[in-house]
Amino acid sequence: MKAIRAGLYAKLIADTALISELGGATAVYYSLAPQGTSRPYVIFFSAGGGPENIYPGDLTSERYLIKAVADSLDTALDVDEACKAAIHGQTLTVVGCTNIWTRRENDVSLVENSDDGALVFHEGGYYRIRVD
Amino acid sequence: MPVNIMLDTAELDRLIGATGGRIERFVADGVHYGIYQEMGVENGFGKGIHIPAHPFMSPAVEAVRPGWDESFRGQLTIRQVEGVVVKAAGNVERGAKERAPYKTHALQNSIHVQEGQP
Repeated sequence: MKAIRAGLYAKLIADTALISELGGATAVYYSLAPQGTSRPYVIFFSAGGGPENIYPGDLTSERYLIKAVADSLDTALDVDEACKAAIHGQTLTVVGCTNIWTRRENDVSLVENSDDGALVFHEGGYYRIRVD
Repeated sequence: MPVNIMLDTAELDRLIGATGGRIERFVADGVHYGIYQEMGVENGFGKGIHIPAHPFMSPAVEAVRPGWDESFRGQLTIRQVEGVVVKAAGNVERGAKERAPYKTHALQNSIHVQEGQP
């Protein structure tokens, strides 16, 4: 849902602690960072979900992955913690809906071992967003 | 006149506990790059190329989740419960195959259900 994505993005870039961890840049991207973007940055994208259709209303439950991408594990974990503080248990502004549930559900950790030998650390989590 | 009714579930709990075991199924892929499709790549081919995620496993689970609790209604025996779990795992497998990006179909074909942890 576009409004949820907009709400998540707005919440992330408005968080001064997160932006500080990102070196002052609003380096938060949906799905894809521009080629050449220097790390660290935050990627978030939809990981499933949709309308619940359990009553005539518009209850929607979506799952998003929000992850930090960095050249060191320590930095990735710090950025991830800032993301969690900004989102988990908070209320998003979702145009046209009321955000009734925003929680982190599962942690995600991945080390990308590239052909050039460089390691890229992905640290993040899946977040459940419910709106009605 | 108030009447206090107590339900002693100790014996029931003991019987349920004695059924033993966990009913689990794992849906997994069998290629090394499946996780990168699910999560995205930030240094593709060692050349700094960003490749967006194409999540296929998580959305497949999400598609099954809404009916998960309801599907256990009336399933009283271990065999019945196992049937629900096996069917759900099969649905996740099918959903993941439908959503998996493909070029050679190797990722799609590698998605499977197994009893033990991958």
